[in-house]
Amino acid sequence: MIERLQTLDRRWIFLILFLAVAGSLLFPHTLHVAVEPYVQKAYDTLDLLKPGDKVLMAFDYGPSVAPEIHPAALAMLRHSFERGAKVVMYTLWNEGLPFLDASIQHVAVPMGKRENIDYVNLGFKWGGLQGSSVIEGMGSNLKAVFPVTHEGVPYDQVPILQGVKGYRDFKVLIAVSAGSPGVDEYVRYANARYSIPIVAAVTRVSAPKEFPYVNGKQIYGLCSGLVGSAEYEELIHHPGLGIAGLFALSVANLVVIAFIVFGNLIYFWGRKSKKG
Amino acid sequence: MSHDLGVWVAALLTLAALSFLYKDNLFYRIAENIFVGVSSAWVFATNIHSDLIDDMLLKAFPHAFHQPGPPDLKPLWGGLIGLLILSRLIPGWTSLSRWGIAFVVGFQTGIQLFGAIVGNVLLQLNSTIVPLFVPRNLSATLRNGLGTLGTFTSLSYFYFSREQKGWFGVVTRLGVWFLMISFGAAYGSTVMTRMSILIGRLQFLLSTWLGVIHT
Amino acid sequence: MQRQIPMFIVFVSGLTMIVDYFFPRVPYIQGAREIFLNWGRIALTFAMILGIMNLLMSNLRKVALRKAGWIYNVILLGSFALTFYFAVQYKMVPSGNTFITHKGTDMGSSGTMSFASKIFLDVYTPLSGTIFSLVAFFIASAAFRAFRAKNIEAILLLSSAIVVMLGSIPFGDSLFAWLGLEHILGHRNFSWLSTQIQQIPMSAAQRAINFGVAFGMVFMSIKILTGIDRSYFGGGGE
Repeated sequence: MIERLQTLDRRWIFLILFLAVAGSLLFPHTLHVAVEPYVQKAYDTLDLLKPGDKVLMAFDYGPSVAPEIHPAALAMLRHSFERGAKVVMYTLWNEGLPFLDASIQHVAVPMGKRENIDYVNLGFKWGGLQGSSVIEGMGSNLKAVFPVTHEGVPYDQVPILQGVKGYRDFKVLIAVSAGSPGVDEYVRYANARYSIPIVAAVTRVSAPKEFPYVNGKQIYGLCSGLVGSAEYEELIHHPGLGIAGLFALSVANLVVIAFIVFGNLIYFWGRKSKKG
Repeated sequence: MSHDLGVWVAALLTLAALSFLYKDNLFYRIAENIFVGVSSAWVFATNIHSDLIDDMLLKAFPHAFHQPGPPDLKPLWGGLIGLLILSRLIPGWTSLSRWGIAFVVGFQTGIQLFGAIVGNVLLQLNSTIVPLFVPRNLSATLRNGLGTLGTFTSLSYFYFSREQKGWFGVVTRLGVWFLMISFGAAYGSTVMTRMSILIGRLQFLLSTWLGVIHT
Repeated sequence: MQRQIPMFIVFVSGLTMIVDYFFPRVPYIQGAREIFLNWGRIALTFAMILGIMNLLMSNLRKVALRKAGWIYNVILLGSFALTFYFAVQYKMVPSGNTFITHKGTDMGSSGTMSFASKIFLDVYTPLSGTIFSLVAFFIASAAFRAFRAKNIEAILLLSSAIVVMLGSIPFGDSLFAWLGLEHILGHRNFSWLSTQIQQIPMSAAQRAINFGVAFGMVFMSIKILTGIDRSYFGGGGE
């Protein structure tokens, strides 16, 4: 019995996980969302925005991690607009553009925000694997990096960009980031040199790297993973895909914890019976 | 169930990729190769628009793109540097490609050097060198003390110029414990990221494709 | 000369970026920096083209030589050609198109999309998401088969993983309250413990790792700029 469990075909484990996650989506429950201090800090920073303040927002992620952080991007964009801020959006990821576009369609357009006046889509710019040439360049001369908007409107003809030279003209940088180029590079090149406050939404897997920056106040607030997205949605009272996926994520976590516990029980049980 | 052909294509490709969990098979390999082809083409096409057209051609020949302003021919030098890099493809011209690569390496290194010193060393040192005793605040004292202890002991583990024995061995062992706690938490975070992605795919299958749930 | 010229180029381009840190308001230096950044972005795109050409040529070679599994190379090349043709033509997101129609990431299709958008939405997105999600299953398998509490280090690793996983979800607090264990943490939630682990020991160890990475970057940069490290030449600098 123990030997059979120890050499269990991994496909059974795959099946259990699949059924658990699918089952939790088929039979969902609404859970109470407790807000982490890092997410609260992110919310508080954006909540200080005043009407007319300019916000820079980066959509540096792709479809592979979108279920985790795209809800946070939507929530933060909504929050910024609710505070009356004007948002300048762009992406350093080739795959980020569709999500930037989706955010405009799902948040800016329904809220009645006007293109090039309340928000602008600067589109995609590639700056190598670290994006340093773009992030550095945006500091002193945003126009040199983005001479035209994504729709092809010249920089000088965009009302929201009038008088904007670089990072110093923005109240905050919202970095929704899934890797490199992303929040690490913004900390290194944008915050360190131009002192622009950063609020970040990152994947849970990359969050550990960012905790020292939050503690060092190089990042003002951090929203990590699907849980962070759900917490931000809760704070702005606008439930979305973050909260919708929270129950399934909770079940998945419990399944993995159960696997760790059972795996160890079987291991020690097996060792004991061998000794016996 | 969806009547959209695109949704069906997406669903079948999702199932083809998931089929790898049973075993490596024809459908997975087809899906994998389509993925590589599509993703590299997407990267190629987007980069051509963002950097070659917007950053170079549009600045050098604005009127050709119906843009106002005088032509600025300086970006064409960037194109020349790029062509030097591509000269690697011509046998015997490898040394020229080094000039282009040298430019890219040089300017990136220059940016990186000060970014790392200021962002990752100086500002991080600020939050490491903190008061180890905060009067009438046990929580802050513990937090600062453990934080500083954890950073220095973890760093000491990576110091290999001295044998990790005696008192130094104790310090490095403590560092390993801090690192293990960190790696454990990182594992937990990894689990959550991967599960979230899986949830996203299953939401698509159950909601958009099959229509059995509403998200 | 074959070595001196590239080393000189590295030094000058690197120095231009560094000098700007010390004289940020000097127009000539700032101008030179902006030009170099612009050239750098363009040159990097050519470097990327080099990579793509290598990918295409290696696949074409396999097809031409009819190597084992060459049909997969044909699929790769075909999907590349099709995507590139449409993506480069339509500039990806024509005005007014909606990529994601159904509240978030579930990728429903819109009738107004360009073919390039459809490829992204219906081919690239499901494949990218699913291939990355496969890791979830292998992580679960590793949790069952490989994670053993054999010594103190392994126990610390497993415990912190469990605390973080449980503390990050609402179940953690409910379970802790149900077991009546809140008094252990001074009547705090279980999520508090998870947050503390992430804020203190994890942050401390991660900061140490970040320092290591940063020092590595700094010394590597200095070695490259001064010509001590010439690995970017390929073939050991000769």
